[in-house]
Amino acid sequence: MTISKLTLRGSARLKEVDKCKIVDETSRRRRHRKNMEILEADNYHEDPHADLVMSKKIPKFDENLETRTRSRKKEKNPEYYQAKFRKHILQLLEEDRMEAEITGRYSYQDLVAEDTDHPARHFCAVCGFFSQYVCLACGMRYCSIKCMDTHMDTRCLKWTA
Amino acid sequence: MFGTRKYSGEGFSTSRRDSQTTEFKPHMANRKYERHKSKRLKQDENPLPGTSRATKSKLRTEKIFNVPVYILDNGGYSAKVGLSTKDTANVVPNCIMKVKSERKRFFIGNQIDECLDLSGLYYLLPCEKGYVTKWNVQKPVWDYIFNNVCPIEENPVIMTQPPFNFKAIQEITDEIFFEEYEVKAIYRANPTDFAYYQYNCNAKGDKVPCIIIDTGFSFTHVIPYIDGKKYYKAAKRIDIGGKLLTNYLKDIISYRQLHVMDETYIINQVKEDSCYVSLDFKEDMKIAGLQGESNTIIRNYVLPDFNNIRRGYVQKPEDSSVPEGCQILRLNNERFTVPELLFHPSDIGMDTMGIAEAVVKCIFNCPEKYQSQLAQNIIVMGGNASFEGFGERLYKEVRSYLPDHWKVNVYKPENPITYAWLGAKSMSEDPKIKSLLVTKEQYEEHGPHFTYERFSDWLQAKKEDLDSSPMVEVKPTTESVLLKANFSRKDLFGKYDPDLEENSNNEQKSEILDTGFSVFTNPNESKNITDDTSRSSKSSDIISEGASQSVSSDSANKNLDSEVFICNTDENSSCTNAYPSGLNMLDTYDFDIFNQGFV
Repeated sequence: MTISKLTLRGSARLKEVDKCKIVDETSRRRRHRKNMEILEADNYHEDPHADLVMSKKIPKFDENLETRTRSRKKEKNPEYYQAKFRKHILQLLEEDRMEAEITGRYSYQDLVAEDTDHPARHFCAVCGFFSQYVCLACGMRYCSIKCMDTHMDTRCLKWTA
Repeated sequence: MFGTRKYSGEGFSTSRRDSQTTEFKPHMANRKYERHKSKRLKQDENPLPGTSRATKSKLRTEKIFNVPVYILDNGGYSAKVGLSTKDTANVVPNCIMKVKSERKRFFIGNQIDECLDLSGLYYLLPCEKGYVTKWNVQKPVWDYIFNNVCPIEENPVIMTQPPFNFKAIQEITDEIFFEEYEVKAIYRANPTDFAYYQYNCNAKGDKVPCIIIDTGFSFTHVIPYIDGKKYYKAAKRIDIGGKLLTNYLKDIISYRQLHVMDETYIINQVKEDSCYVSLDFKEDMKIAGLQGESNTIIRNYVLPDFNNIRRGYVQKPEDSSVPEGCQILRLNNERFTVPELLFHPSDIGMDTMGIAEAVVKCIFNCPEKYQSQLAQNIIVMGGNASFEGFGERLYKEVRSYLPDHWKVNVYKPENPITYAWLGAKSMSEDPKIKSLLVTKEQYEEHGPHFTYERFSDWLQAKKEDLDSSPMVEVKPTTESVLLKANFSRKDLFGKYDPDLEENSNNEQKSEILDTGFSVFTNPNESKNITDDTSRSSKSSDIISEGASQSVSSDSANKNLDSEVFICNTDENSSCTNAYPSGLNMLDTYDFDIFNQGFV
């Protein structure tokens, strides 16, 4: 930014403005990915019982759950299956892809829908209506000055990174 | 409607005590006894023949098996379970829940009904991306269902599984059902298979070609059926489901008015109660932008306080009085922009196509002679189909894409959630089910591989000829891992780095080597080069230099994995970073961004 050269004597406001930078493509994409991760998450908050570990009142899995099944002899702890399984979803996808490649069949990955042919519509990140303007610093959208102010005060990425 | 308002302070304590003491123990103690008894009483135990249909179906299944069939539609969020003699399925949450207020116990499945304060509900879900991976959650839920919700006796089991249910998952399922529950026989198929069967029962012809859209909690499948089989070449999956919609609604409400990020359960109810699919999106947007009376979309949603109100509700538009001490959400365009994601995933920056577009693409990917018939038989099922206006919107959009003289017909069953279960029920009355089941003896004789092959119809779905179907292509390992996580190479490596670029992608590399120079053939990548032109020109020299060296070694290594690369010159060695496998590359990703992303 060119302003910085003029502010040798130092105005606090201009220094602030100088720090505010235009967020590059990489971190814009990273923000999008983070948003998508939040949308895919099962829970947003932490396990409310997580701090119970040291407590004597900790719920015992075996006591609490009705694990009794048909014949008690063959009954197994749920952890047994988890330990036996021990696979991450990405690992499963990869195995599926390999198997599909060898046998020439369709795999999970082949079914994913292609990209859309239509241009994206744009919505105000603040109020959700159609938007016409883009935040110069971070690339999010807003529709009015009011929403712009809200955006600048809240989710704009100009100060981060 | 709100009978639950009567909960007084005292009612609280008693019912809570009850809920804790109701441990199902006596029932469990008699379990063994009951099993023996039930053999004798089986005829009497069947529910009273309320409708003639129930009797008929009972008679029919009894003819085949002597016992009703146990049907389990194991969804990502809710399991639909019941015996084939019942008219409808029991819908049970397929998860374990924890609450803040009750620290001593978990709530499995529909035990959650006993819980009084549902705020801050924490989910343990058995599925990831729609596939069961957390067996320490799934197993207790199944135990609970099979013991308490709908006790299983000597019944054969029909259950659902998602398409491409992976081998490891099916093996564990087999082990649980055959070895632990000692089920006599089992049949597994995709929910859409059962829906197809059900639809064909009601349709006039046999093996009607149709498209089934299953839009559930984890994802949405669009699957065409031709000649009674799935046509995999045109099938599509859109990674948008009810979970994403709920999370999106949660996110925008938290940003705009009230912090509800922790309240997935409540917001899910908000979504179910108030959201609808808009028939004319632009028009609805306009209405939602209006002030005062003319805005017919805006609604107040009264949130539950778990004292007087147990379940939130949408206030009638004319009723503007706020119940005392209640929190209110004001829902305006949220009501229709959230389900809109199903039709336009690009609204939140996803590149995939929406449902309507996928249906149309799917039709046109099918053989031509079936296309118009497919358009006449579009079936929607799954939880998201329950949104008001879903079927109409789908019809409207698909109609606008297809030729005028084709008939388009979208069928939405009465209850889209239990449609697969109903299909399985009808299938259990079909004599041919006997040949589909795998018995315990067969499992013990042939092992899990046998069941896997029997129940996985995608194993037969061979790609006919690769070059005639352009959408299908086999990708090298590294790239496919990138795709999975929606990364591009640029994300992984931040700034352009010709050496890594070359190493990370074998295809790219061979291209460079063939031409001997011109590193920046790809215009997208040349954009990233900022001020290190001197460096890149230097390294392009390195590459062309190293090219002659590595061509020979490269051709020798062609059969190796694509991760293997060759270090060309000693100058490269500083930035050469061995990525032994695709997954490791993912691990290093964040780190790289931080180092190189912003300077």
